[in-house]
Amino acid sequence: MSFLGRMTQLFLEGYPLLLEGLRSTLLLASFGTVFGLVIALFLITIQKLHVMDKEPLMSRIVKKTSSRLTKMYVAFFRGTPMLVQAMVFYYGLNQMGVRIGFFAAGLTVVSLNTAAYLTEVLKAGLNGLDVGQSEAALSLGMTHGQTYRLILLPQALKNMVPAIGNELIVNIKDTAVLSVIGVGELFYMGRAMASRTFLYTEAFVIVSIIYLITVLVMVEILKRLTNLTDKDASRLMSSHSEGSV
Amino acid sequence: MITVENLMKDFGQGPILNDVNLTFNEGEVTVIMGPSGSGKSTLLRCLNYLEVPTLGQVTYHDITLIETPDILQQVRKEVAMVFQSFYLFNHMTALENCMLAPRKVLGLSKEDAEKKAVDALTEVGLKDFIHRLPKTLSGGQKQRVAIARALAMEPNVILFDEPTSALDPENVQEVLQTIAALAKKKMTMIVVTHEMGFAKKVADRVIFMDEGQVVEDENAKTFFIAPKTERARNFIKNLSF
Repeated sequence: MSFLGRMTQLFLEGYPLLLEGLRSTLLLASFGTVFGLVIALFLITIQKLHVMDKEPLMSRIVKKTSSRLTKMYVAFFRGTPMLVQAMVFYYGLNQMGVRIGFFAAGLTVVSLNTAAYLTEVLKAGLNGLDVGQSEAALSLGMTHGQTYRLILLPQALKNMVPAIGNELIVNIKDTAVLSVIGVGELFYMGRAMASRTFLYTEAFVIVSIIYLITVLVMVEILKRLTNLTDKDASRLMSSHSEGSV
Repeated sequence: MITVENLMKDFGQGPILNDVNLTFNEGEVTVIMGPSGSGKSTLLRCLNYLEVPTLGQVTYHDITLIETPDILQQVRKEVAMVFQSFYLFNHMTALENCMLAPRKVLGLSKEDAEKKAVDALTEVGLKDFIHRLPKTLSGGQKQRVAIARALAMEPNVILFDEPTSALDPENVQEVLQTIAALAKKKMTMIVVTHEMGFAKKVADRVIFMDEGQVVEDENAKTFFIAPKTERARNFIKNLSF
């Protein structure tokens, strides 16, 4: 039987398993990105806490220390491979006697990792906004918190939509490393199929194709979503539209 | 109304403001002039504590400014500011720009804030542009939205920091006319500007600064006809080409 023939047969036999794996991959990547974004918002907010000129010493120390901790967090997760993070996390918890499911462990690692990257993206997005808008908000009597929440964050988030999409795509591929701690995602299923049939090349080519199609479809979906938000903006350009306020 | 005493500001490379003492009065239009680097904008920004003075104090009515949220909010909701580069909130329409602070700072209902915002935008001649995003407006229109945003707070004073310096020449007039119209209504204004013609027409009083100090503080007519110092004479001569 030809290579293509063997591949087709393998796929027909193994596709329920592969679909199961794909499902896990997509769940890990999408929830990991969403949770990562939420954690990133939390981390960047701590980093951006405003210290007043005559602030009490205690609250100044708390703000500065927590800001430094978030920076260490980001440095750790960006400075080590996710593969190693997964190992440390999974075996570390085991050693402490904490039993946690494969999937939950995997999701936690992806989320924490994504959070570190998105914190940096958010920071760049916030720094890219000119300081003038915050000054304008402050000059109107708004607090630093209101300025951050109502003026800076919405604009930074809007600008980082492509970066969030990019992170989602990276996560679809990078969750493959979670197979080392036994998370049953797409690559794990492919490997299982390969070692059962000894058709290694065939199995991994199939897995590659599934990854590729998934990523391409996701890119297309993201592109449409981005266009949608742009249209939303252009609607507001016309002066007579009854834009909601 | 606003009193400045022994004001000193040093960013670390020598004083930008050096022992400035001034009082600004209700209903008066004060123009602050002077060469660049003379400390005009820094002085203006100290009045609402966007810049915290190194030494000295600023008093608004009977409130002495200190950097605490309550005091700053109390003062800033009555002392509005218009910036050189507009600084509109880019993700919001003109109307939303004008509604935000009335809602969040003055605590008005959505309806009341919207009414104030529409009134303010109408006053600056932008009634037909209220649903526009800043990026679709010309420089002059942006600056008028910024003025409307200040007006929507119904402030007692408006500080203008070189309001026409970032504009194309053909947009300068509309902004100056908007400010002149406010002067007619007896709005208290402190304006940092290089626009001589505007200053002559609108100012009640001129403060001329150089090297961080007030060199002349004079009735506007007197200042332009007969400046006392050599420095001011030269400055006016150079500005009038």
